[in-house]
Amino acid sequence: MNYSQPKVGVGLGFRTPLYQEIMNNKESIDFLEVITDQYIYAIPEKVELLLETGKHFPLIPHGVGMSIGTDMPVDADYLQRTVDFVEKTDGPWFSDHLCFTKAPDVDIAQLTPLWFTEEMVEVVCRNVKQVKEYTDRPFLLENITYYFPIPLSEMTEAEFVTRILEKTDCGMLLDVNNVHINSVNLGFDPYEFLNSIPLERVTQVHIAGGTRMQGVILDTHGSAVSKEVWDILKFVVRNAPVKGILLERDQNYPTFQDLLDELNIARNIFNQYS
Amino acid sequence: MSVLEMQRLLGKVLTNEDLRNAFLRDPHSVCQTYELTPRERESLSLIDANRFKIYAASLQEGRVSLALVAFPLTKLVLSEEGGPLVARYCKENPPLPVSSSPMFNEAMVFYSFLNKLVATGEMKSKYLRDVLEYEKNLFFIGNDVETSRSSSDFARLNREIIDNLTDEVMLDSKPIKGAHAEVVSFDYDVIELAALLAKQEMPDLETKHTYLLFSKVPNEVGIKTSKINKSTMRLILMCDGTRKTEAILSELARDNGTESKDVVARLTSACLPILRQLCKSSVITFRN
Repeated sequence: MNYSQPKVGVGLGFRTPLYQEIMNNKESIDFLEVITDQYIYAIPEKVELLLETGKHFPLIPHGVGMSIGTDMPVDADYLQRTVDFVEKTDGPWFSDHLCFTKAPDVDIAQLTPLWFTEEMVEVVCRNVKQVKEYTDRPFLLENITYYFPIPLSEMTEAEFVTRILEKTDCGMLLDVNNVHINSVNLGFDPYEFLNSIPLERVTQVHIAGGTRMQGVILDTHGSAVSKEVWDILKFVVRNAPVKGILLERDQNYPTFQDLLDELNIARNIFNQYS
Repeated sequence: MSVLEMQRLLGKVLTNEDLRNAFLRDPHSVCQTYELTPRERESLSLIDANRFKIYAASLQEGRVSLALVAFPLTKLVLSEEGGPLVARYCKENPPLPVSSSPMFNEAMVFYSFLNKLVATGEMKSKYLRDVLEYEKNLFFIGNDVETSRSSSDFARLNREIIDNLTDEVMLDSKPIKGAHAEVVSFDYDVIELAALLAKQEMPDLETKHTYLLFSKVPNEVGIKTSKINKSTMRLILMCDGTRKTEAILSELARDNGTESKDVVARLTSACLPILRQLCKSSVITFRN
């Protein structure tokens, strides 16, 4: 794996309702992560506007619909559009989730867990190989939140992630909020999980806040980052070669100053522990 | 193939409430209809039912939330309706894989669903049709790749012809409206309605027939919305590329019950400036 990616600092997920505030606070945001799927089928004017915004910030494409874990080849049209978009944004890397979102005849449209089996490791590795045939840009895989594990797995999630990252030589986008949520919902020690994955492959980190509902925490990106997540972030930044930390906020928007305050906390952690 | 078969089953069960209920009651029966190994069948039968239901419910909510991003004002009006709209929408519109923007696709499917309920009278909120139609046009014209291409093409074509667009040329050409422009009639003053709804106010408006021209601004992210009168709406709708302006004016005169030269002349002097302006703003172009 090439570890020479640049440090991009502390960034924010680009969302249309936040556009004006983002532009008004350029000096406080180091980079923007953009949802690939919102642009690969978009009108050219929308992409041009984004690229204009990209003159002020590095842009990092992040996908949600590649479905890297579906046991069939990645949709070639989707992949080509993704790679074209990555080239346009000139992102230092791009990412998608270690999950499946599509199956024949059905678009689940959400990040659905994989069965942690040898066969599934092979499926993901085969699909990542296909992605790498399209581009030399580093491709990161992100751990997801999942509410139900698929029983009778042959390995733990940590083993599954490790096997895939090492076999594909991919970097990891470690979502520390997802680690926290899974640890609460599924009952495991988040630090044990972190000590079981190849932290040296973590290039980017996601932070966010979830919502407690019906006895579980949902990954809503709709509340402030919790103390537990800040603590996990400190651990990760101390132990992994993190190049960028990204705050995700998708709903229930607070004042923009609140978001800037969270970015500042993340920046202090980044500067102090990395 | 059976891992894929397992994923197919999970996808179906997660997105189809009836199948999900059957699966959670008797997973083995549902699994029998898929080509699965014994271990895969056993795994699926052991899935935590409560967690599975929570996730499936979040998928349904997620689909509607995604669609409603395009319809923020419609969402406010819908809150008056109540009822199990989310479940019904998801049941009647299974999430099929498509090669287009997920949000664009979900929004248009949701529009069709609501439009049908409005047309059949199942949804009775007095503003729903207007607000839905208003937001649909803003969203569709603003985000559709074909309308974007159409507006750019019209702008390019019109730059070439506008300087030579004399009255004679216009009369002898066939005006055509682009796919990036729509004229729509509303029962209420939808501009006023939208402004009030945006302030979270549910107004009590009198009926006031309103006609709007929506058009994509060429080469920019944006929609232009203009209030027009009923006659202009009729004129624009007749710009379908099948007949010359001269023929359109004659037809409008016949609509007025006469084909006298005076009436046609009055219509000509009224309509040609409008058509020229529509051409300048690239709503229409002229063909030979």
